Amino acid sequence: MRRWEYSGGWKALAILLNEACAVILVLSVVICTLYMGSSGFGWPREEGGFENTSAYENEVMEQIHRCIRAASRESKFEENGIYDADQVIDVEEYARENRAVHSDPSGGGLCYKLTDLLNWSLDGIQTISLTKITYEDGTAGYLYEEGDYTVQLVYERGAAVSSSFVYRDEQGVLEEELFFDTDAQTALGEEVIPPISGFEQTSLILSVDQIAGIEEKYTPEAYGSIIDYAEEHRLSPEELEALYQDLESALSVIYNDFYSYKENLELFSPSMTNMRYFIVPNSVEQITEKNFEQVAYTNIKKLGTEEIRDRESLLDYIRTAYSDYLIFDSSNMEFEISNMPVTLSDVSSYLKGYPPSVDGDYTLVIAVDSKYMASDNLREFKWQYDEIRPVSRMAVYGSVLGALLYLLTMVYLTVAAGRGTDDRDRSIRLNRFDRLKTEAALVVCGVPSVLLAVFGSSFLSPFMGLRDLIQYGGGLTFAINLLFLTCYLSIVRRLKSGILWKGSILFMAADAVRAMMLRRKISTRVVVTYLLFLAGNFVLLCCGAFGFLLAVSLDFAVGAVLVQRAVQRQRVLDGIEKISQGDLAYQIPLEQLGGDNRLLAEAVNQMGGGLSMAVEKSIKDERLKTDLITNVSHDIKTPLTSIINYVDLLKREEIPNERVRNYLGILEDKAQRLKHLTDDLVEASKISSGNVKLEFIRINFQELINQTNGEFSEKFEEKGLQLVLNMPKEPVIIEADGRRLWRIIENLYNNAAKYAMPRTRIYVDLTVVGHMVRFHIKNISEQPLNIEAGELTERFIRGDVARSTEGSGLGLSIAKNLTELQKGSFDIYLDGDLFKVTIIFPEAPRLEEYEEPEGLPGEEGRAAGLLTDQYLESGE
Amino acid sequence: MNTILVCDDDREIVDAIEIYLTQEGYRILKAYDGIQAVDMMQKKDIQLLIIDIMMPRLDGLRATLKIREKSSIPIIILSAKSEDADKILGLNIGADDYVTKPFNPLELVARVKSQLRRYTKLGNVAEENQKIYQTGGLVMNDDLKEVTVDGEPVKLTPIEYNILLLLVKNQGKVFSINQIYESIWNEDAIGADNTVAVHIRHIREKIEINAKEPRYLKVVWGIGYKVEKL
Repeated sequence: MRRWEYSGGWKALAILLNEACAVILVLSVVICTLYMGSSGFGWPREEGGFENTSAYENEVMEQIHRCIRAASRESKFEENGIYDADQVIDVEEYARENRAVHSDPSGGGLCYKLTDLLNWSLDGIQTISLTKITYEDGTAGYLYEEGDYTVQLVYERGAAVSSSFVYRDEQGVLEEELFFDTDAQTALGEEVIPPISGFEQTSLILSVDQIAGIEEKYTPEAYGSIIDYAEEHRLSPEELEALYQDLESALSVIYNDFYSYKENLELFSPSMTNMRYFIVPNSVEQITEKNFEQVAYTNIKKLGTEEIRDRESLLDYIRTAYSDYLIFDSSNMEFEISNMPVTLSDVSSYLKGYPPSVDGDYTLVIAVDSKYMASDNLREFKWQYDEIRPVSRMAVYGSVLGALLYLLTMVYLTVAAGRGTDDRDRSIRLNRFDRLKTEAALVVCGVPSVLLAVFGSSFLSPFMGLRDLIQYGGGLTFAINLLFLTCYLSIVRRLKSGILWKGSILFMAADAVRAMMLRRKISTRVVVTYLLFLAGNFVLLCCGAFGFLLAVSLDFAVGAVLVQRAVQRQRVLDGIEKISQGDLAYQIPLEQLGGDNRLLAEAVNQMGGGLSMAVEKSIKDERLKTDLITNVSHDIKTPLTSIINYVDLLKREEIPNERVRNYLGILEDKAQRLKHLTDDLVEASKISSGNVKLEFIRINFQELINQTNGEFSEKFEEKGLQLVLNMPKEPVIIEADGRRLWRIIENLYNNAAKYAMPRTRIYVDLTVVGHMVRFHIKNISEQPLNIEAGELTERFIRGDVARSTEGSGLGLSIAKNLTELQKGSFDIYLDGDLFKVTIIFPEAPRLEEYEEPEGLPGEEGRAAGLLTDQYLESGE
Repeated sequence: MNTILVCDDDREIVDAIEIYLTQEGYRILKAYDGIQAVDMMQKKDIQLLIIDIMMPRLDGLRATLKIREKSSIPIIILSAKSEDADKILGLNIGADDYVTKPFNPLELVARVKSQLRRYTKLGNVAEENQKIYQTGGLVMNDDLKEVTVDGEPVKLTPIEYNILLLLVKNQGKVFSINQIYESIWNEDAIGADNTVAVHIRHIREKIEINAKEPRYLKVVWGIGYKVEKL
């Protein structure tokens, strides 16, 4: 039966389907993860568009925050919508409230020009130590170092009285006068110390304060210096120090602020962002399209409508022009949002962090330009959303369906791998690739597929067009899956045909090591292994308690292996013993043997098998020989019959010639001998090939001897031979085949009758020694026995080599073989003319009582029935 | 005059047998294979068949089987196959006697005579009110102290007669030498003695056609003697 499901066409189809599924699956998964995961569009919702996705919400949230920052910075640095480098900034306000108050320079606070502050900030701040000496009469002196000079400033009631620079090196003595040591301080209020050179002061010193200040590089608006400002406003030393600190903090942030502002101008230009914002002070009454930019801090360049007159109409315009917007009025905390993912608290906390530099209340508006003309993240997201949205639902189904089909085709391909359409041929088909070494196949296919997967996937990005994604991702997936499939199916085929391990380079290496070990002499191997064992033990014992434990377990393991080996060895030995005892067909089971023992067992099995085959062959040959002899004897007998018959007929003719009658007698004799010869030949060959069936029964040996005596009495009498019989009174029972035993004894008697010297005695003895029954027959040979005893039992060898008498020469051979077949022993002993045969049989175990036989069952009848059936069956 | 069919593929053997049996006054028909023999059996009035086993076209055993379907005349198989198994097979298939080649012509003639006597005469031998023991063609009339084999009287000595009578009376039962001795001589058998064995041999020579292959009085070697129940 053809297995159509394993045909090449189906497999190719399955591979194509599998590839397609892999591509669909991967693309779907990528789209899903990109769409829902990294881009954050979430599960594709039916209602709403891009503006309802979490990606949009997150981005807008972030952008609102940034818009507020941008707006507030803009308000800091712009005046009437225009950046003015000469604008004046109140340092205290800026530092304390993070807002620049565009105050009039005469307005009171310590103010600098913006450019000065920025340059100062860039130049860096040099801290200095100021010493202020306050006198009782309201005079104040300031000392500080500037370069190599010491600056001395004296103020009297807020107005500068004198200022001087003293070059220190020239006025070295002055130094001590300039600085007030501890002695001077203890003299406080008691005596007048002229601290400043060239300035005579008689009033008492009220206090001397150390102030951490900043070296002044730029002069403030409307004042000569900070100290001027401080004296004019009668600032205490603590207040002065706080002023310095405000200045320092303003200087430290203003540069960053300014650059953020500049950056924002770039980033929030309408071509860069789709966000729109503005802050309008509520104090502005009239807002038109024309003055919008002057009154509002905004990134909107042009409103594009003529209908705006005031704040309300502006907001109305916003409400109609934008779908996504927020409006915040700081005067009454009015908060209006349309489709914006923020709350009032978000906005107010942002505003707290970056308060707009607006006097009084203001209105903040942030909107999203849903035309997405500027190329910002929103536009990217929008584009991505528009790209993927139509296929996202498909991708969800695609990933599920693709995964299912991919698994299905994979299972089919796994099952079908290596199978052919022919049902009878279950062998695994391997292609050329499968014949590569396993590791090579892995390197060729597996490694590239992994590398492709790792590096290829890193190129996938959410900002890839759908077309690019499909082309690039699909192609990549196709290639990876093709490589993977090739590798995987090859491994499956290798597994099925069992060459995964055997066909690997590792296996080759292991095999080589094993072969190398096996090729060494067994003694070398043992020595090497033992040395390794000792070394391992030693090393482990040197490694403390843990090593000791390991060593002990190693020793136990080695002990277990040795015991296992010993058990295996015993099995082999048992097998060898069995074979040596004659069970040549025995095979030592190899399953649980390993290493040398297995080799040994295999060798023994082979030897046993060889022996067994040789023995079987010799038995078979012997049978063939017997068959041949039997057939030849049949062919001889037919002409022999005619010879005998016609010789007999001739003898019946009245032949007067005496000589002719003599000749006829000779012919008759020889014909008879030929007949005996053929009969004996067949019998001898059958017996020697073991081709006879024996039927053992309990036999009374004495009875048999008596019966034989009766048969031979006349034969012996003819030659004048006297039989001397010596037997025990009680019956001697052996287990033997009666007819075959008779044949043995008959042959021995016949031998005696033929070859014994006439008129001598023949001795027949039957004795029981131990449990062995011995039968002896002795006679004196008529002819000299110039022959080895052993040769007498060899076929066709007779004592009278030179002379011919009747008999075939097979009698003794037949007797010996029959004896041995019946588990007896047969020995011939020659001493001069004494010829002696000894037959020994084991005595049969005694029964309770020997019973006279009650007639034997019809063995012949049964055998006959069997034979007839066989014959008839073999016939027609 | 009895007609005997002799069937053997060896013509010389058939001719020799013809010579012997013609001298004894039988009419001889000759066949040279099994099919001829079966044919002639159907066509001619034949009283005895001598048939070889190994013959072309149809062998002796199959021919015997075929003939036995219709006829009960004595069949003597004459074969070169001398194994016990061959003999048993032949006799079992329906042959009455089995003679191995090369055969003694006189023995063959004797067996032919014996078979024919039994076949033609023995049907109405039994007479009433007489102590008659019989097995096969061996009949002992204890009233007349007469022994006949296939109708031919046999002369036995009194001891021989008694031994044979003991065995024939207990057909199938094996008697050891001692048992025979004790029941004939009515005294304990004392050890080794071949008297009984010699008598037995003599009886065999008188009642058997071939004493070495006895039909009636058989030796059970190592156990004793018995007369076969036929």
